[in-house]
Amino acid sequence: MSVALYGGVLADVLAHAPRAIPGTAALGGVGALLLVAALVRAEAALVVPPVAFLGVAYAVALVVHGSRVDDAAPLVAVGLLLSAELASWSVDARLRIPAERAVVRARALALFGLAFAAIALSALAVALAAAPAGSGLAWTLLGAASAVAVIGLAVRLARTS
Amino acid sequence: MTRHVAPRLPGYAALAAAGLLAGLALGRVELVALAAPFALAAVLAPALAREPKLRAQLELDRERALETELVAATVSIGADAAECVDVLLELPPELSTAGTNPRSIAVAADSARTIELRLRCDRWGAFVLGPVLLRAHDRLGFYAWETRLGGRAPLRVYPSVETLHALLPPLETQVFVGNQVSRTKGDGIEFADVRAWAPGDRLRRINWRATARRGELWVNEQHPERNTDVVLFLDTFTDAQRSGRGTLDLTVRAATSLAHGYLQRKDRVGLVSFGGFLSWLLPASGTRQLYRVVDSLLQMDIVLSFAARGVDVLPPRSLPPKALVLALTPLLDPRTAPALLDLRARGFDLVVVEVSPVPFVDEGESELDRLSYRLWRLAREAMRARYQQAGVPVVEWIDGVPLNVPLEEVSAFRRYARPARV
Repeated sequence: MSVALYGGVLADVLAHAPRAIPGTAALGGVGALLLVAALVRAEAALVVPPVAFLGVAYAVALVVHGSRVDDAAPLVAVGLLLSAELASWSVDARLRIPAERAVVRARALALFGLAFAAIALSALAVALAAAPAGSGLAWTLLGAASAVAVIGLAVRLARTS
Repeated sequence: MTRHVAPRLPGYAALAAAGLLAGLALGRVELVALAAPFALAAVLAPALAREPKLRAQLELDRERALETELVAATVSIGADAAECVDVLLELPPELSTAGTNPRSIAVAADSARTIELRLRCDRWGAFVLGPVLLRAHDRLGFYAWETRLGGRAPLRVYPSVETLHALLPPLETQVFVGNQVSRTKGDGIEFADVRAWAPGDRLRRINWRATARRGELWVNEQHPERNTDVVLFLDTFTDAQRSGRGTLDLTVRAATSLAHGYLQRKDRVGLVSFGGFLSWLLPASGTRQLYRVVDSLLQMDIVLSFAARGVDVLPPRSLPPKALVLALTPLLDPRTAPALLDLRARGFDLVVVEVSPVPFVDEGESELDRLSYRLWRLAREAMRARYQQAGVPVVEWIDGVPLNVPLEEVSAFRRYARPARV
């Protein structure tokens, strides 16, 4: 399922910018290979790089495509998140131990909840961009501050892991 | 409690940061939308993570078992809040279970779950099971907490006892009543001889047939039933083993069977473990002594030592006079032979059962290996000859052969040989 989702997102990215197909296909292909390697070798550390590769491919496609806002961005985002989470679940299932049905159900419910919240947040971001809220230095600073906060969080998580 | 973070969580945060920065730099809201789910996961996971409060209890249905028997292990796990917990009861290689171990279970808040595992005792030994390894994790597996709880539960697995049809009789018996017919004459059941009546002889002992034939009073004499002292002398300097079986394993099994057999006959049995770690048990009789001997045997292990020691370091009471010393040795360490020959020189009735290491040793592939192997076999032959020259019976016991066979060989040897005065 993880590979299928990844393939679906890759197809969407390729369809998005036909002019940039060689570059996006190469990036997506490398990511797909990494994902398959992560699943075959049960390497949890290899789950995130495929998402990064496809994210870069998507960014390339966006830049090539033009200035029109892609309404399918929340779906792409959730597709990538679900692909990574399902791959991680698959790796866990191979490395870990037999789980009861209740444990599997709890994880599936949690994943569903996360996907729902993620698509809502992503759609909110796209909708806010379309809203006439104005622009300027304050918005840019707010965006930069949020980016810095997330970087700080990443560093903290990396230290504690 | 040790906390672990899944490696993908910092990755998600890094992806989110990169997406936000790229969105700002390129002025594309889609990249912000792309980063949002990963940012959400990276923020929510640590915010919702909390250390679980777990309780665990490990219980075994008994503390003692025989080889191949099943022991029920019960693990009870409780938690203050609903948790997904991985449970692992670490087992030594000598124990196995057909049940699922480890397994992942869901524990409801303020309740307890019980896991039952049927442990199969594959090999003898003294084990301590537990504590149970528990790993609680959040629903999406971003965080995990590991701890060990539940206490420890001791389990002693006794080796199975081989039925011995005939035990080796010692050359001399002790003074207490037992089941062994003594060579001396006295009050007993077994007929020994007739002799002329002497004042003090009881009327019931008169042999009327001999009296009628000889014209004077003749009385019967009997062999009294006496007990014996048996010392099991275990050579624990070296062990030759392959795929879980070895000479030490065979030695312990043989010693258990012999101790069981002799103690059933009301004999006194002692134990000497002669190796890197020297230990002994004074001879005694009864069921309690059987447990003492077997418990000591369960602790037997090979301890590497370069110290050369003789039997003079043993307390004199551990080797009582007239005792039958049954030495179980693989004849691998040169330090055992002088000690045993010293015992023989002190007049002990010594029997050497050679627990053969040959089935556990490969001949080798190369010519040099094969030559070394043949030399090693010759050295063993020379060692056996050394014992036989001192009048000590040496019998080889090979894995898979019943213990009765070497014991019968010793009996046959004794039928045709007389103890040498050395």
